[in-house]
Amino acid sequence: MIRFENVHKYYGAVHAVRGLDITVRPGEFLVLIGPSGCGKTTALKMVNRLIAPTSGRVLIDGTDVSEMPLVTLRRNIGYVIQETGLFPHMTIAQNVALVPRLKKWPRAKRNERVDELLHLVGLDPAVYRDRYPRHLSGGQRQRVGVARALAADPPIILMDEPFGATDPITRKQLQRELARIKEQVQKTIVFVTHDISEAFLLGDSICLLKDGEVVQHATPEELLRSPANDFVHEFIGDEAVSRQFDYLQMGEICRTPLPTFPADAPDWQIATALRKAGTAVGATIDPGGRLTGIVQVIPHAEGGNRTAVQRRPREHVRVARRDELVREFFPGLCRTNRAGGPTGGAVDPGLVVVDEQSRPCGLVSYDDIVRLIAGLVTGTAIEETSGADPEDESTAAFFTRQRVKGAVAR
Amino acid sequence: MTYLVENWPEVINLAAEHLRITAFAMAIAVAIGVPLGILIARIRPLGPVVLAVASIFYLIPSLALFAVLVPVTGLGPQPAVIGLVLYSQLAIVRNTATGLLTVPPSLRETAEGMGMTGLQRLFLVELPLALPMIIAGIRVAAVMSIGAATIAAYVGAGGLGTLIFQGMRLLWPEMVLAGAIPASVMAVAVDFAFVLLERLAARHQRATLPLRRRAAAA
Repeated sequence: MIRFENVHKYYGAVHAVRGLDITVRPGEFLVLIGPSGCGKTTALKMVNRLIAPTSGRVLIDGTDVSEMPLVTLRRNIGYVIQETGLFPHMTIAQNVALVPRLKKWPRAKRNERVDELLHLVGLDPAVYRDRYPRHLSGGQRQRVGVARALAADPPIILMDEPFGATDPITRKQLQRELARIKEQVQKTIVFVTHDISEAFLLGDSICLLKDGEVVQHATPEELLRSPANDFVHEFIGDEAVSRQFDYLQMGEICRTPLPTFPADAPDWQIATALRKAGTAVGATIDPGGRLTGIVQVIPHAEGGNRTAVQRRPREHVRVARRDELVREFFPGLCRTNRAGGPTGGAVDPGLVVVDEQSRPCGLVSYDDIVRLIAGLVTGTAIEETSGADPEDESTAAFFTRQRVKGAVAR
Repeated sequence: MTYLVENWPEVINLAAEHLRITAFAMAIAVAIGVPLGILIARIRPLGPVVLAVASIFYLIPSLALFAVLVPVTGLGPQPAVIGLVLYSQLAIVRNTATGLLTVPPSLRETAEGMGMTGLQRLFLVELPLALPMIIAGIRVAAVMSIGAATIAAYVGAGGLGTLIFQGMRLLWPEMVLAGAIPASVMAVAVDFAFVLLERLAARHQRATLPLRRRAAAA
C-alpha cells in the first residue's frame, strides 16, 4: 500500500504539489492524470525518491520511504519511463535482467526470467534476446521496458507516460496488452498519463490533478457519474470528444440489453424477469412498443435482501435516438441527473436508446461510456473499416487482432 | 631502400623500442586522463581549470617540452614518456568528460530509479556509453604520440627518431627514410586498430543486425 500524507513540493517559489493525500491499495492500478505541470510526474517520482517532498510523507506499507535504504527501496519498485529508458549498449536480455543482476540472482535464474517475461509481453525470446534496443521498433522497446520493470517481481510498479512516444495504433495495442498483463501479475501500479482514454482503460481508480492539487480521486465510473466540478467534466469531455467517436452513432455504443415490459406489468413480475436477465434496468412500453419509461430494481427501503422496483416515467429518462451522433451528447452524456425527476435511491442508470419508432433498443450505461472512452467500444466502426477494404490483408488482420485483444481486455 | 634492407634487425629493434615508449606513455596517460575526465564530468566547475592546464601542455611544442624536462629527469626515455603523457592529456580528458556528459539525462535517471549505486551507474551505464568517445580520444593521443616520440630521440629516448636524426646529420636520405617510413606505417596501423576498437565499443549503435543474426531471424 502506498500513501501520500499531506505532501507538498516547492521548486523555489513554485508550489508544484500542494498537499497530496492519496492512498493506493495493494493490487490497485492508480492513474495520475492532468494537464502538463499539474504535478503528476513529481508525485510519482516521490515514491521511489527520485524527488524528495518539501514537506509531508510518502509511506509504503506504513514505512516512510525516506527512512528506507535508497537502493533497496528502488530495487523493489519497477520503473518504466518513455521510450529512452532502455540502455542502448545492453542487449534486450541484459536490459531485462538488470535489476535481478543488481540483486545478484544466479545467472541461470536470470536467463529463465528473461525468457518468461519476453513471452509475457509478446516477444519471442529466441529472436529478440540478443538484439540491441536500436534494432527494435518503438512499440517493441516499450514492451521490453514493461518486462524490465517486472523482472525482479517488485510489488510496486511506477510508470511515467510509458506509451507517450509511440504512434496511436501501437499505443492502443500496448495499452490493451498492459490491461491484460495487469490482470495476470496483480501489482500495485501507479501510472502517469495525460491521455484520458488510457486512464479509463487501465485505471482501477483515477486521480485527476490540477496545479498540484487533487481535483477528484475516484473510479472511472464515478468520475462520469458525479464529476466534482466543471474542470473534471470538461477534462473528460473535451479529451474524449476530440479523440474518438466523431462518426459514432448512439446505437453503436449501446451495449447493455434492456428487457421490455408492458407498462401495466406488476412489480413482482418485473423484478423476477430482471433478475433472470441479470440486469437491474428494464424499459416499459405501450402496446405499440414505444418507450413509456424505465423500471429499476433497487434495495428495499426497509433493508435486508429485499428489493423494490422503481418506475421512472419517460420525461425523467434521458433518451437518444440510435442514429444520433454520440458527440452530440458529449459532454452532457456524463452530466449527472440532468434528467432530474425522482431518484428515490435508484442511481442514474444511463441513457436509453430508441429506434426511429421510439421503440427501446438498449441502454447506454455508465460502464458503456467508460468502455467507450477507454477505446474498447469501437467494434462496429472497425468492422466497417475492415470490410470496406478487403484487399488490404494486413489491415484486416490487424483489426481482427485488435478485436480479439479488445475482447480479452474486456 | 638498401639501408632498410641491409639493417632490418636494427630497424625492427628501434621500432619495437619506439612502440614500447609510446605504449608505456599511453598506458600512464589513460590511467591519469580517464579518471581526470570522470572527475571533471562529476564536478563541473573543475572542468575549465583542468582543461586549461591540459591545453597548455598540448600547446607547448613537443621538442621544447622534452628539453624542459631534461634538467629534471636527465637524458633517456624518462623525459620522453613524461612529455608524451602530458601531451596526451587534453585529448583523453576532454573526450572522457564529453562522452560522460552526453549520456542522456533520462538514462541516468532510469539507472538511478532502478536502484543502481553511483559506482554501478558509472561502470554499467555511463562509461560503456562514453566508451566510443573515450577510445576516440585515446586514438588521437596515440597517433600524435607516435609522431612526437620520433622527436624524443633528440633527448636520447631512442626509437625510430634516432635513425631520422642520424640520417640528417650524415646527409643520408636512405637512413632518414628507414626511420620515417616505419614510423608512418606504425601511426597508420595504430590509428586503424583504434578505429576497429571504436567500432566494437559502438556496436550497439549499428543500424542493422549483424549478418549472422539476420540469417537466424529469417
